[in-house]
Amino acid sequence: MKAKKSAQGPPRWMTRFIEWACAPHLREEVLGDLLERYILWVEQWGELKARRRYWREVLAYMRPSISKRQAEKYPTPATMEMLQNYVKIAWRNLLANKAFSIINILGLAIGLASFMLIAVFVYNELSYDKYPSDANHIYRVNISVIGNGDVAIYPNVDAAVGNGILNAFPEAKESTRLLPASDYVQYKNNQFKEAHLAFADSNFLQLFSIPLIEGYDRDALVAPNSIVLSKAFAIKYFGNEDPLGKSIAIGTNKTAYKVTGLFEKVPDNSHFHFDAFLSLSTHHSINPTWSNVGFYTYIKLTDKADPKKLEAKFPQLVAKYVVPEVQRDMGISLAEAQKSVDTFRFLLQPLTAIHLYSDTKYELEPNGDIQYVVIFLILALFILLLACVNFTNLSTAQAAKRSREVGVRKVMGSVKKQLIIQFLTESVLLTSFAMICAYLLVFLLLPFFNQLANRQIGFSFFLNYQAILTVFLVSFLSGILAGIYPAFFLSSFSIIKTLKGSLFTKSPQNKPLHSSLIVFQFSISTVLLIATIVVYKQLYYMQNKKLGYDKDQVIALPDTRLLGTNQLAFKEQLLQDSRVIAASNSRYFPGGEMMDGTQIHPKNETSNGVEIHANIFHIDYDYLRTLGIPIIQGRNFSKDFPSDSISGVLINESAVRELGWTGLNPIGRSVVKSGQQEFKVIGVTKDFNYVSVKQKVAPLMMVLGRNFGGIVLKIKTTDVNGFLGDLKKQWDSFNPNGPLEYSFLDDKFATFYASEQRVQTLFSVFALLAVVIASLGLFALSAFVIEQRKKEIGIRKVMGASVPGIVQLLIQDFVKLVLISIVIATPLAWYAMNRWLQGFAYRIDIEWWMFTLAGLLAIGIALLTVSFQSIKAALMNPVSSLRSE
Amino acid sequence: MRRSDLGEFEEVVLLAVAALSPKAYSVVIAEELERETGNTVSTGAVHAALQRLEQKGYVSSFLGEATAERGGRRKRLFTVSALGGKILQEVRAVRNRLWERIDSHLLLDWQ
Repeated sequence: MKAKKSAQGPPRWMTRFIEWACAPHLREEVLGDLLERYILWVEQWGELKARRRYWREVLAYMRPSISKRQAEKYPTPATMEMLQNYVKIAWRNLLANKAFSIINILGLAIGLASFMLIAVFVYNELSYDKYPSDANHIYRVNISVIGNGDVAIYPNVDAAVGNGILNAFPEAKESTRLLPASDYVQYKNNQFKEAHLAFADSNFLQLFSIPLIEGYDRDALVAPNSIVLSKAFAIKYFGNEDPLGKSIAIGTNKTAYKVTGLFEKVPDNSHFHFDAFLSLSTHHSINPTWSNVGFYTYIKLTDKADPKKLEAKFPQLVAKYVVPEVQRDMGISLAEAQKSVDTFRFLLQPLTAIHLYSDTKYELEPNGDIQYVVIFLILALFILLLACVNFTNLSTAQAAKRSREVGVRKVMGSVKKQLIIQFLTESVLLTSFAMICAYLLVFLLLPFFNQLANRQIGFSFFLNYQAILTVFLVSFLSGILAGIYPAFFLSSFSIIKTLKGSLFTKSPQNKPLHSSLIVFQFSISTVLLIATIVVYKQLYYMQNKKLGYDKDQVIALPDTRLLGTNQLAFKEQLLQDSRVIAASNSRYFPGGEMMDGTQIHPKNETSNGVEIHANIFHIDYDYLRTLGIPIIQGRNFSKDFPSDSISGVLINESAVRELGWTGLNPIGRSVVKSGQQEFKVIGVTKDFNYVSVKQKVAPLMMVLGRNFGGIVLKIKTTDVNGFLGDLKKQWDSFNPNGPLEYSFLDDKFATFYASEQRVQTLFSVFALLAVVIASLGLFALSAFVIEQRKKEIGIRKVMGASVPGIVQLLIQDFVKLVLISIVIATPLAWYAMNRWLQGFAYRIDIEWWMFTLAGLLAIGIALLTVSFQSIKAALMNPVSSLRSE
Repeated sequence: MRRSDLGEFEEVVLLAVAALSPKAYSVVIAEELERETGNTVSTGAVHAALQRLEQKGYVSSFLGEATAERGGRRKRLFTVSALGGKILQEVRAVRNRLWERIDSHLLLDWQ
């Protein structure tokens, strides 16, 4: 009857709660009391009220005297004492198995060191542009221009845009502009060409929180012709003199700029690094325009402003300012010009995202890439994991040796928890040693790494408490990670079996685990090997791709404008030299910085109203010959046709394609350049890569004239240095305004691939590390396994087995595992590398031999590691292994 | 002997243990006190008081038999120890002495 009445029973979760909260030794009586009373209440008042009171009843039990756990009946030794014992045993174990300990520590140290280095690299990448005090509210104004299905993003805008936004929208608090420049700088007898100059608005330095160490921040860049120098720059020109207030000459016409301030330097983690800032007010224009590009413009928004919402309002500005300009410049109807509201978009890019997420063609400096940051982070973790795997593998392999110890400890009263802690102590101790070694490694490798990754990171970075704490935490965690499986595995042995010694008679080790861990290690190593091969091939391909012109022994002189009117004479004189094959007056050359561009469209074509963006090279008659650019249709510019210099144009194959002339004869057709200027196509050149091979060859038009200011030389000599010496002499004989600047085209091109080069080197290093760690593990494991099978080998030999037979027997297990790894690694690597290659316009195909090569390498390495041990074991005299027993 | 050791609630619980002996455990004590005082008395409070009394040595306890209404769990039965008895008597003596000194007129007024 009673049972029926309380069918529902007291609220179960309350009961469970009190069961949890109550100390174990009080549980029985407390729960009993509660239930008994509950049943009494049910009889008295019924279920509902009883349940309600049950609540209060349970709460009444919430007191310390109930929840306080009873002390253990048999007190354990103080934790510290036990820990001391663990450390002592761990230490003895390390000493007892020196080879294993060294392999473990070495592997972990390499893992930790690479983790530290990569972590600092990643930290550094992520810290870019966070130094301004309001970094989170600063945005760069980008433009995206949609044309012909393509979206071109420019990181810079026209002069009027910044102020325009500021005036139109209250969300914008401040705006500033930057105009990079490169020019000659002279003070007294010191004259150099400086590549890192920039004109900046007067509020630029404050907005970016770049403090002046001398001079007054607010005034420094206000007056026209003012200049603010970095400390290093000042020392370069002024030495010990105080530069403040002095004049410095800039440009070929030696305009005087007054030094109004000094700053320490632009922080390393900035997306620009200028040596000097010049006042932008020098270039004051009365009517700044909206529709061009060139000024890097930064806007500071108010704290509450939403950049997305603000961005959505920008088309108003386009309609108001850009459209009339387009209409005027292009001479088109208003309706036609209205289109630009859709195609011309101002965008806001957070300052802190520029370094990792912006990859336009016109960045101030090559940026980082979030992809690589992620890839390297993953790599670091994997390498650390590989090292942890070694530990796991080796310590479970040694289980047989430790099993007696476990048995004895259990007999003496050790419980499982204590054994787990003991083994974890061991692995953590090991990782602590590894951590110390890792610090040592980092200290040794840092200069190398800095060079590799193009950073300036001091060792002191690793010595601040956050870094030490992080490294310590990571070491500790990897210690736990490495030790957790062996700890549970070892502590789970049953006492009787371990003491009888019957635990491992059948299987001396945990085979499936070891096998899968080895497969894991070798899969990662193989993926890295494949990646290294693919990256290397792609890089090799880019550097050696036929560029469509001859870049060997071509010298570009970008600044012959210093010669003034003597440029032609200089060129003629150079041509007298037998070593000079050809020379051309032009500042435009492949890989150079000069680039002019415009929108063009075919004239009088009813079929399509295509308008494409074309780059422009201003050249002379000798240009194509100097660079060896072949003409595939029509003819080169010729003095026989005087009209060439007014309206003749050479275009490349891309331009033909994009203008929609594929299959048609382009010769004699006309294109119209933005200002309604007409050009008649007289020839088509083969596509040549005038920018990095990473990008597709874009449409190009080459026109005569406006080409002075630079010279391109094709030479043929075995004594390049001798020629350069003569070149300098001839240069000086013209009394130019500045020193000779020159660059070789092939060098210039090599710099395009600097970041890929870095990736390649880093990949190879990591692949190497992964392979080293994996083979260290394999080496130790095979040594151990062979040691275990010593007797078997002895018996086999006695029974007549041959040495090669035994070696094969020992090796084949491991080789099988490596083969499985290759099978696993191949699709992974194929997928990853295919994605990587998508980023290149001209790319290699991933071919089967790359996988084969990587696979052979992996097998070779595995064989090398295992066979030494195996051969040693197979050659051993069976007597020595069978004698004892 | 520190008299202040015995709180009011503890005193009542101790008395109840004595009164219900030898079948005194927290549920019956709580029920009994509820009946006597008319106030709600939670088992938890009684349990805590009993714990304190046991710590002070006024009661001793042992686990009794398991019963069905307790879900097969045993109950902890309490008996008053000699020390506990002595304390109770002492408390009572103090009270009695004080009672006796109350003027009889006053007592009459209260009735």
